[in-house]
Amino acid sequence: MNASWQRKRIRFNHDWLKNEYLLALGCWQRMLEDSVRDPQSEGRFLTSVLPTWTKRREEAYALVLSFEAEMSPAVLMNRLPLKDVQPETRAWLEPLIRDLWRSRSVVSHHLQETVAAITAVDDGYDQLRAAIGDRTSIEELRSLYDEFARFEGLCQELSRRLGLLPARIIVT
Amino acid sequence: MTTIVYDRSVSDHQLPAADLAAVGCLFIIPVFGTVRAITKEELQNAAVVCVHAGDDLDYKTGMDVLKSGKHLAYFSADEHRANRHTVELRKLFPTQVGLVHWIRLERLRQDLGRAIAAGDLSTLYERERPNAADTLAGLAILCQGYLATHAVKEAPEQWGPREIRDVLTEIGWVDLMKTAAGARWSGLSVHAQRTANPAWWREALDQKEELDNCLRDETLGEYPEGMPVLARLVEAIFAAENITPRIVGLAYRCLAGRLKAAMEVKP
Repeated sequence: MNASWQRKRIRFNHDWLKNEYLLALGCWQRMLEDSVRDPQSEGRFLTSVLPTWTKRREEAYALVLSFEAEMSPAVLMNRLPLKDVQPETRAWLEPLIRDLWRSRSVVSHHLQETVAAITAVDDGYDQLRAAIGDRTSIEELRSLYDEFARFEGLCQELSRRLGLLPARIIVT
Repeated sequence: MTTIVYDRSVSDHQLPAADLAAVGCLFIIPVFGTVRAITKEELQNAAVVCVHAGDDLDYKTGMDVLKSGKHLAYFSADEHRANRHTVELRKLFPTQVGLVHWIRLERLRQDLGRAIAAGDLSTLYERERPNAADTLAGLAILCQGYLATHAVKEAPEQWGPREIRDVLTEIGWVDLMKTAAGARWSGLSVHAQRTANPAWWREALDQKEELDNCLRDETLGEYPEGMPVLARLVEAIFAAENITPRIVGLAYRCLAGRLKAAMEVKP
């Protein structure tokens, strides 16, 4: 069934955002501080690593937007034992279960906050790119340390927000 | 080494026999209504034995396979059944847990030949109980539906009847009815008579024994003795008596407690 929302979240949040992107951002900041030297990575960061956000942001939106379809208890209407209910029961029970879930759970709030966090990363990225302009050398970019740190903070917040969404279907 | 598909049921489950035979799969299926046991020699030459999860004899066949140290994979169109056999055998053979698997019939039909050809059946196996709380969750959802159809507005901001007042808040009904989306459900009580009829519950839960087994599994044996209010609801569903708000309210609380303890349901 749902090639698992949870698996998609792991791929995006754990595998990429935390363990690739944020690690690379942290490393980059240490280079800006001049505490680490790695000329090869310095050259690659601006051209190959930082822009990966623009390739992954749609995945982030899709992840959040698919949450309700895959993780609301209404999906259990398609599994045993509920998949056998009569169509006339399903017609009202399925939307009712979804509405009750929205009403009692804090998930809707979390989803809104997560979308806001994605938008913030997106805006932060655009601002950072604008600040970078056509600077390419690490010497020229040291003055942007705070801007990079701010962008990293926004990515951290997105990661935290994604982590708050439940990994299980909350029925009660 | 061969892969044996052992099926005592009257249907061959539309398995692609020719394709599977071509990759060395051995079928033991009914011929004119009879089926023989797996011979010692066949078992010795097998790496994996796929057994249709049916009755106690299939369960015994599974035990024989495990005693010989071979991989056993139960398959069934009814995933609860395949899963239940698996769970029980894992308990019985705790040191051989890694040898006990289950496979959805659909997957067996579609992918078995490919997996045998590749020499790796592990892609077919379901790793663990897939939907370990689906029956509890299904019952909880039916309870929510029942409770919502029995909600009566007794005063502005107050819903009843008294015996389910608190539980209506817990399922989200009271808050829902304060929102614009609530207007959609103002006529829901039209279904109250139907949901009070045990037949409505049996649309989904038609076999008491099956339901009892699933609930026992999902509660690790706590049901029925340790969950009398849930047992009472199940009794009512399979008796010719109307289902009352009080029974459902109590059973829902019990289900919610158990589901929360299990951190709800795996997607």
